[in-house]
Amino acid sequence: MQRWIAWAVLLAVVASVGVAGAAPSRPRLAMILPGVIQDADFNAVGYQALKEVQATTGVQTAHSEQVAVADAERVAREYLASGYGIVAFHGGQYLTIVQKLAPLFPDAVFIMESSGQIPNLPPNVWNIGRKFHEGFYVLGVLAALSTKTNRIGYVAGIRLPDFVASLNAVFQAVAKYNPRAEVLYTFVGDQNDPVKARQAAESQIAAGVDFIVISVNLGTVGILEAARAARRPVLLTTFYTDKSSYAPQHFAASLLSNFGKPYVEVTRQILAGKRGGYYEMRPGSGFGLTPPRNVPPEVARRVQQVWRAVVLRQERVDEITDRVVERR
Amino acid sequence: MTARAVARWQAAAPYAVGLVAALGVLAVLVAALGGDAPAAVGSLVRASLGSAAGFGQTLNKTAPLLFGSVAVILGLRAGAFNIGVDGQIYAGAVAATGVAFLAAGLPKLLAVPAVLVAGAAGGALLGAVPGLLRARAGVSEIFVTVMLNFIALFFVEYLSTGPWNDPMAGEAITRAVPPSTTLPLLGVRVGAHAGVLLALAAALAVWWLLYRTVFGYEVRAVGDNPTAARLGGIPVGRTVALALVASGALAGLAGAVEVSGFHYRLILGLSPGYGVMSILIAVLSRRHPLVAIVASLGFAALVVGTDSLQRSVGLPASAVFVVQAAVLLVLLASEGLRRAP
Amino acid sequence: MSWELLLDPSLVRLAVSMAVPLALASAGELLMERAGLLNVAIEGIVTLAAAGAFLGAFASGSAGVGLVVGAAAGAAVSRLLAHYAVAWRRDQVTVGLTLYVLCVGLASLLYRMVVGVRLTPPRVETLPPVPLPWLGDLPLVGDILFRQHALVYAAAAVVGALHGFLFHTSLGLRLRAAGENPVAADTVGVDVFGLRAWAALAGGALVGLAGAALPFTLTGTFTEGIAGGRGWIALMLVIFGRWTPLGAAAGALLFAYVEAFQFKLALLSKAVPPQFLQMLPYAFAILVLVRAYRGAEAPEALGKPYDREART
Repeated sequence: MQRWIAWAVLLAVVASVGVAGAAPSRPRLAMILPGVIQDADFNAVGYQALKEVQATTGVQTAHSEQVAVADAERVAREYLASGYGIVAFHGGQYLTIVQKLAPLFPDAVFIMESSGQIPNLPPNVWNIGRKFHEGFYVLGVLAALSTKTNRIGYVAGIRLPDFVASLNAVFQAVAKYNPRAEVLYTFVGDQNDPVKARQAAESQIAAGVDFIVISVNLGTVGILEAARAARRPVLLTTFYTDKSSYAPQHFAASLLSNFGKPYVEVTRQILAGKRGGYYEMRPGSGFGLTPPRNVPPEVARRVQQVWRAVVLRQERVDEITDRVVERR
Repeated sequence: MTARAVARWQAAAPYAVGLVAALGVLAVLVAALGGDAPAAVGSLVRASLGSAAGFGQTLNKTAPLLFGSVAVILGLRAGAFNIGVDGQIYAGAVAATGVAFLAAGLPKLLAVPAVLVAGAAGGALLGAVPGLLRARAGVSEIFVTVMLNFIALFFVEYLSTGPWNDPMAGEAITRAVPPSTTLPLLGVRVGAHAGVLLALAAALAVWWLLYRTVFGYEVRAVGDNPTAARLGGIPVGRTVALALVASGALAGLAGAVEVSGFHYRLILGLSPGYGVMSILIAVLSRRHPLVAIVASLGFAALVVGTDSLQRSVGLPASAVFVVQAAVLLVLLASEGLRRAP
Repeated sequence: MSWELLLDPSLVRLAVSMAVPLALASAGELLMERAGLLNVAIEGIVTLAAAGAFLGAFASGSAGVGLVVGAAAGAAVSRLLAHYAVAWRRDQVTVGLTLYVLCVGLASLLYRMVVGVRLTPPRVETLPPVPLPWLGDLPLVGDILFRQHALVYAAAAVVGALHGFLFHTSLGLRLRAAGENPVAADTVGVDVFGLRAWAALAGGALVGLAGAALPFTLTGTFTEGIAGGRGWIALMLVIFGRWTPLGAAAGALLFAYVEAFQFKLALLSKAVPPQFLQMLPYAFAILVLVRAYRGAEAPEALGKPYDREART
């Protein structure tokens, strides 16, 4: 009997030592962010995702904010030199750096974001493709069904393929659900300039717009001011985070983005050994819609129906990124 | 000690004071954010100069700063303030990218110089606007250059999101330039490219131009005393205009180097404040191109180092501007104090 | 292009509101330049004052406190510039550019340090429109001019007062003398140094007020690029206005109108890429400057340090 116990104890000790010794030290994850995490917008959700990764997978994390593209390579190299095994870039503007660094550091894994599947990526790169336009389609439906003046506004910053696709999705939605309505759009040139955003919104409101689909980040507060200063009720939608607390009577819905979902999933895959791949972030897997408010209940119900249809791919949204298609 | 040596020490003293001031301001900022100041300074030095990778990045940052600062110096020597270095960098980058796309089939020996010449031409074009306006209409270049910065920025935004946009990137980034148009690296893991050598050559060229050529003499004469220069027969307007054109060309080269050496694309954030930093470096270097070499390296190390502090202490990116400007203010004050009766 | 398009009342109303920071900044700069000080740090001062005003209002809950903080910041930085220029006789443009960099960096640094990490970006209340009792009811004009927020009326008052001060008071005359011919002024007993210092304080306060106006009238927030080149534009407006307050204010209205019109144009002309429309105000500013330069008479001693011992 004693011999059995001794063998059992020895086995247990060996097993635990073996496990502790053989368990590979978990790679650490560093995230590079283009802006500040207190923006309650794109960077805040990135930071939230990072925290979620740490909480759910136990991977140690670090981050750098306000990393301009010109500095991102240097920042990434510093992380890699400090032993971080996973470097994540929150934003599509870092593609070129990932393409450059990934072959140079084959032992590390890189996570990047873009608007779709990119061909010929190195094998140690995970690509999160963000399909914003599918979410904006539903916002377009909400706008189409809620507008009383039949004039809908769209305010975006830089004329990027993502936003062009979102604008086209709004056009598609309006053409289908309210063909009499007109869509007025302005690209103000800066995602984070509230002054320009306000001026653009005021111009649109003066032209009769009563529902604005917002596609700027920090510029949102400017559009909010324009809505508050307007002589008749104006409804707004935003994206990334729910900003309705700024002025509850003006917000109709927000397209929420939960980057935690893609990042946790991708991290899990990396830990399981899959060092490269593609994850599509779309309504239902990363994008969510707040329940519509300040609109009639039947409109809210209809919109949520459309959302579910988009999630299940029963309702298809075209993706046109190179030019604006005004009428369908 | 000889009188000359004493004079040299006296001239260098403000720089030492400036360096101490820089570290002092940095320590104060770090402490205000709750960090460990001595450790921060140590990590700053390590990140920018202490490792091969860090030093490589410092060299990469030195290139545009050196180009930009000698560009400003050339203008200052002629009595003109070129505040448009950012815009000229972008103009050069646009021209360089455009030529790079066209030069896809050429061998590297032809393609790279073509791209660089294009960059210089692009910057020169933008520098010609304030130059001509000043020569013909006497308009101050200060405002014109700043407005052109905005215009150039919008143009880059148009190109990088429109005709040249890389659809896969989904951002304000153009397609990649052909590999034959890229600058050689100085060491693969270090990550430094040959642009810094070009900038060094440019600084030496500007020094030679200013002190060993007739044109340089004219530039300096016009800058020191335009009335006397005019009376001496030097065409003041034309000299200033040419100086601004050359200044723009140098800044344009910085843009070309950033595209073909660092990013391999034209991107919207190509110049994160290089223009203003160039002005500070130019003033700090007492408008001397060779001193600018050392000053640019110092500023580049400061930028790279403070950026690493972002991770450890949470020092925001704007702190580096505060430190740089504070150093210069201290220097200007100390010189002023020495001069005051 | 029909007249209705150009004279859309809502557009003009917007232009009047947007002209306030430009009018105040150019008034302040004009005061300094008339005394002989060229302040090219103005863009930085506007940014720093905007940040200071925002943080002041955010911390205290009062817009008044914010406005005072903004004006004080502007006055302090300009006074520092004046010290470098007057006491130490450093080159004004060099010092101005250095202060510009310092102010821009300081603005975002202070914002980060005070605001810290938050889940929602901080906001302050923007100024509400204040309809003037009888004037506000006038048709068309009432809506455009007399149903604006308080700073519009304040800016108008400042411009008028500055005009009166510069051209109808003896102190104003002495100040202008300090900028035109400091040597002669000095011999007659005008305190050139002191006047330049006071001009810097007062003018800087106006520039600071312009910066403070930005968060309180436009967006209720502070962002790094909030000045958007307005400081530089104000420099140009001084020249455009021939160094007179009314001229500069007129220029401010014109420029603000072009700025507002750009967005209307964006809605109408789809063929033009938006970025070219965005260039419009800045290209317009260059053209205006070139036009305005002809025959523009700057104060003689503008930008030159006054050295009592110099021969020339």
